[in-house]
Amino acid sequence: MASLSLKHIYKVYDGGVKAVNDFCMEIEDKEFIVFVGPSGCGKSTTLRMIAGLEDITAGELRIDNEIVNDFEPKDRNIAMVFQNYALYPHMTVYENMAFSLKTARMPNDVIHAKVTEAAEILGITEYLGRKPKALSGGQRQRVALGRAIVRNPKVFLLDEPLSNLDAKLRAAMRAEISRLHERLGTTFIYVTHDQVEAMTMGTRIVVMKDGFVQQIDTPINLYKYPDNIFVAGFIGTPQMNFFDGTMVKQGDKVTFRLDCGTDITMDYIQADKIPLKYMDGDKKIVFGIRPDGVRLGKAEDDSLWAGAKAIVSVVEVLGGETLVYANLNVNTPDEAEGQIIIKADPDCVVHRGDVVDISISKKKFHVFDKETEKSIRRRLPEENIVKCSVKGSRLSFGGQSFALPTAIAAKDSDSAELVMPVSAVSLGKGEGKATLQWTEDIEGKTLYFLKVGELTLFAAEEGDARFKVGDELAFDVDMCAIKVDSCGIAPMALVNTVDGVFSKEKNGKQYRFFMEMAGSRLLPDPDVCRKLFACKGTKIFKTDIQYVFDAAAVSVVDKAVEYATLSGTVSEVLDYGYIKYAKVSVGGELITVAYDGKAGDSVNLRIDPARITVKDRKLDIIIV
Amino acid sequence: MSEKNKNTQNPSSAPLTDWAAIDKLEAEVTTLPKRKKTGGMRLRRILGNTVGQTVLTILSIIWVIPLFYLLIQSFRKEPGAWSPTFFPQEWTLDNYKKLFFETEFPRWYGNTLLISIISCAITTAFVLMVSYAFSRMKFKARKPMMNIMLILGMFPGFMSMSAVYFLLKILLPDNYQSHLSLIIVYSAGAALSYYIAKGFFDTVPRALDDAARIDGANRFRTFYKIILPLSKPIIIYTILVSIVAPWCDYIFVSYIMSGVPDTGMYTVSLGMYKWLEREMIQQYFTTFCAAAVVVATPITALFMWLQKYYVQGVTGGAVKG
Repeated sequence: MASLSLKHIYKVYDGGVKAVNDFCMEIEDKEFIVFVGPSGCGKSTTLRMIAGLEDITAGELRIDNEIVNDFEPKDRNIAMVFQNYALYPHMTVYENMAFSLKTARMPNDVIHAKVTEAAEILGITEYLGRKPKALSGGQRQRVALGRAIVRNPKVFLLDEPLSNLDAKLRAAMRAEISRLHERLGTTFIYVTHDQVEAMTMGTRIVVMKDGFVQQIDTPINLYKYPDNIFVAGFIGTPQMNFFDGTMVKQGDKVTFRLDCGTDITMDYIQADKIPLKYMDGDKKIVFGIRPDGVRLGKAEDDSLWAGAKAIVSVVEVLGGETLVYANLNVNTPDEAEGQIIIKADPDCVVHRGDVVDISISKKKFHVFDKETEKSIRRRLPEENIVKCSVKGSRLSFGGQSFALPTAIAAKDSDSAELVMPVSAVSLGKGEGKATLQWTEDIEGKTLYFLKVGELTLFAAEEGDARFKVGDELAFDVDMCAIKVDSCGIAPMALVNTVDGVFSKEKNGKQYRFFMEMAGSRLLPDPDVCRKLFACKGTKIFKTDIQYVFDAAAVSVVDKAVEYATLSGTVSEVLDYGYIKYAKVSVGGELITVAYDGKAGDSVNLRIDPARITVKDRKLDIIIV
Repeated sequence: MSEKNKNTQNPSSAPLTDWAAIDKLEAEVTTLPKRKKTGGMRLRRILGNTVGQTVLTILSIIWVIPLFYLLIQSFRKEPGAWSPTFFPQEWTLDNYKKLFFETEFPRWYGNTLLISIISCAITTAFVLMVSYAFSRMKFKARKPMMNIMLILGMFPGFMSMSAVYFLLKILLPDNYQSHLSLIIVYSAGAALSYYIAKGFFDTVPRALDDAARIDGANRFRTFYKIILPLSKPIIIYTILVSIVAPWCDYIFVSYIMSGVPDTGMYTVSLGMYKWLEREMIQQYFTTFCAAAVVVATPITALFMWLQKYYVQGVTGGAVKG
């Protein structure tokens, strides 16, 4: 019955420990969201902030479009189930369930009806007269659920409700809670450290670690497309197998050279989403494969499976399946490096010490950057990283050549690395020519695989594919966004960051508030103002603030208006061909704005107050 | 019955869950086999218990002798402070008769009772509320305040006696030698002894407060409806301690009240102490003993009645047992 919106939520304790960092999420009505992660990752803190039991240091929490940051828990229309049940021991089950309704001064007959109904749903009618002491753990947990149900809340919050129960009972209760979710048709937020609970119950899962959100996605997407090594290792039992190694591209083939001595060779097409820069045979990568992506036996189809040898160290027969623990390095079966877990057929016959043939899937593998631990075989790549050359203010790659705009003064280089965001490649017009190899539909977006010379380039667009596979396409590159380190080309900084404070001034009987930056005062957006007070209260006046806004939020206006514009002089104009940017010096700060003029001009800048992000400079957190 | 079977076989299509089956499952998985005790262990325990109990019995006899002496002396017929025999030669109830009908003792007793009950009520409320606040609320001065109060509480109360006297004179200029003064003195500093109750409240799971907050209860309702009912032992402890202090206090009473012309305003301790002065003791010693018995009786009864709460567990069922 309610949607939730969490924007840049932070929890910072006294002493500066950040328990939750920049938590952003939109939760839709009737979703079953699971927060999962190891202990101390901030999942319970986040839940308690939603409940109102912990203050939100910064950020904005909306329930049903209403900012509830400074609402008491009872006014948020939520109910919570605690890990240790938190039943009132001196009250009977009935009184426990009726307490919230009595506090709200509901008439007795309504209370009775609600409690009886909830007790019926949960099968605790016969225990209504008992004290919690006289109930078993599972029954107590149901009373705790009942106490939440009677309030008819918009959002159900459950904090590890099953972790005190026995494993068998937990499985039964898991199904019951899922069924309860369907029956009540309410938004559920469920915290657990158990990934099985997360996978089986959630419509979407939030994986957290050390206060940071690692990934938010559906269970199946988390399993299939983990964003980083942590998510890959955390989701799925048995754990994913990881191997350190390097990659090398030779012609049409790509070879993964694992440190344990095994080579896995496949066609380049099967690994084309991995940026070329990783295929130099030098850069460290981590190759990941799930136990169900490995088979016992020789590779039958060379195009789909890669063969390898392994020595068996442990065999676990589970009945329905058999887990074979083996090592790819047949000489050192007990070393950690090269350990691989294989989900094998229950009828297979292998023993400790056997050297067996295994085959590794060429489709289901994952590749991560060893250093950043991020996936480099993403479903939707973020960047194109290709080899290029820069000569005489022309940029060439894949046999195509582009004129560099005058704003970019680049050093010449024969072999440089060009990094361009996928969003910087636009299709349909421009100097570049490419062949469309194929397209992929990824959750409402279309990913285009372009053949440019011998390179593969990605472009992405919202919606269905506009072009047919095999078409000759024109494409253009947004020169503002490209990066070539060795030639001194950096992406245009289109985000302005200005230090300042938030101040107030008494004007008659009322206060006026100002955003002070670059020696000027601007009137803030009332909405931003309200959010600031909701997050920070009067502390906001003592906080060192950083105002952050896009170049697109700034416009040049004719007339100076008090408290609405900033005046300055253009110190530099950067010409990118299709657009010109000016760096305007205002009170010692440089502000970037799209401007068609020349250096030395005096201009008035208007910044859209609603598009200014306010950051706490000291804690480095976004307040709104 | 057949309906129930159907439910068990195909739970996904059942309209209601078969909770009975889940309860059964839980009973199965949580029943543990009982541990057997070995004979050697039992013998050693019996031996240990016997030695312990014997020592304790001897100690308690030694401890009880003075009280017993006081009790039998209150039934002694022969007058005077000193008696050559432990047991009285002649027994009588005259001392009690004299106490109730010939002295001001009943008035003193009433005064003491009134003062004790009122200051006990105030003290208990103060201590519990302060302790709860220190246990649950977070505010800037919490730590410094707790430390200061702890240090202040370490000084004996009578050190502040003369200051208290002058403060009372300012506060109640016309009436400073009164029962009201005593009540103020006994209850004003009550909060200083917050730490035992705070220690108790700290053991009450915080999740209960959170649950009550989610259920819409404000701080006071949480305190009154959830925490207090769970805190019987500490409430009783606080009541007992805070009723005993004014009931037995001599120092403050003597300082504040001894100049009062009307000796009927005295409390028992002050009045009875007068009987022990040199010119009175020969006449009043046995009466004093009788008075001591009458004074000790209600406190003893109270302790005996309420001692079971001392050991009663409270949080059973609140969290996983």
